Amino acid sequence: MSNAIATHDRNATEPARAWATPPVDVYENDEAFLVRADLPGVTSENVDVRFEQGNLRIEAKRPADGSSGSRGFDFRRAFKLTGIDETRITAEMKDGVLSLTLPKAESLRPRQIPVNAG
Amino acid sequence: MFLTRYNRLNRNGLDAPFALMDEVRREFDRLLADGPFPANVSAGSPRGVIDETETGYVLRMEVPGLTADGLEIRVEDGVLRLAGERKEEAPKGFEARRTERVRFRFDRRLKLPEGVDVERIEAALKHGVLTVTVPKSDKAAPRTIAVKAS
Repeated sequence: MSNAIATHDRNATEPARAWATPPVDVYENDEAFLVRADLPGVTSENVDVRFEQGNLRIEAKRPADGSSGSRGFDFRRAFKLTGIDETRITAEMKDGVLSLTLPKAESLRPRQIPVNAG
Repeated sequence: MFLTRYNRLNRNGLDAPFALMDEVRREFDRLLADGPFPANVSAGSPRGVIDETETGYVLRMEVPGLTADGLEIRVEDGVLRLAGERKEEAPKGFEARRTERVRFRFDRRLKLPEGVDVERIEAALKHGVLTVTVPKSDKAAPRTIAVKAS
């Protein structure tokens, strides 16, 4: 697992904001993909999930928790997923875990072709 | 445990709480290793941080997905015990394509320093973060002693 905790400079005058890569599980069946990401300390209003041109992007803001030396940081993760029905993606945030359901596009689901007797 | 030996060196007991906090920190540091979202998450030990304030100690632990029924907190003989387990089943009828998140389980025993009010220890589990507050007893709180001019 990558363990990127890095800083980046958006602007030289702004202090760099740290970001981290959350661990993620991905499940698949014929109907959909399920994605679960650990985002402790993050509430639903601080999560931004985008799906654009086959790229799923998860970004979340984790505020500083008040402990000594603690600063807020971001969680970031991106995946490439093709054949998703973008209009039916759902997301839920619970107990610091983000759960996404990404239904597959109808055209990509396996289909059984009935064979007619001749 | 190293802690006990260390305490014995501080015969007057004055430094003992600090030694204890150091030990607690080391204990957590060992779990943490490196940075705000460390690799130990996949090793199965939740990350934790402990802070001392004027009024008490605050312990924070990242436990995403843990619910109150998967958590047990007890205080016994001056030892705070935190035990928990994230039991999460893979969704039925799905195949795993990537599994970075792990089932985690922890059982930590932390010896409380002198001068804390065990009765007022509080714990909250919110958005996957466990916060345990251990207040110092009133008599242990810092006080300014006014010096009277003679």
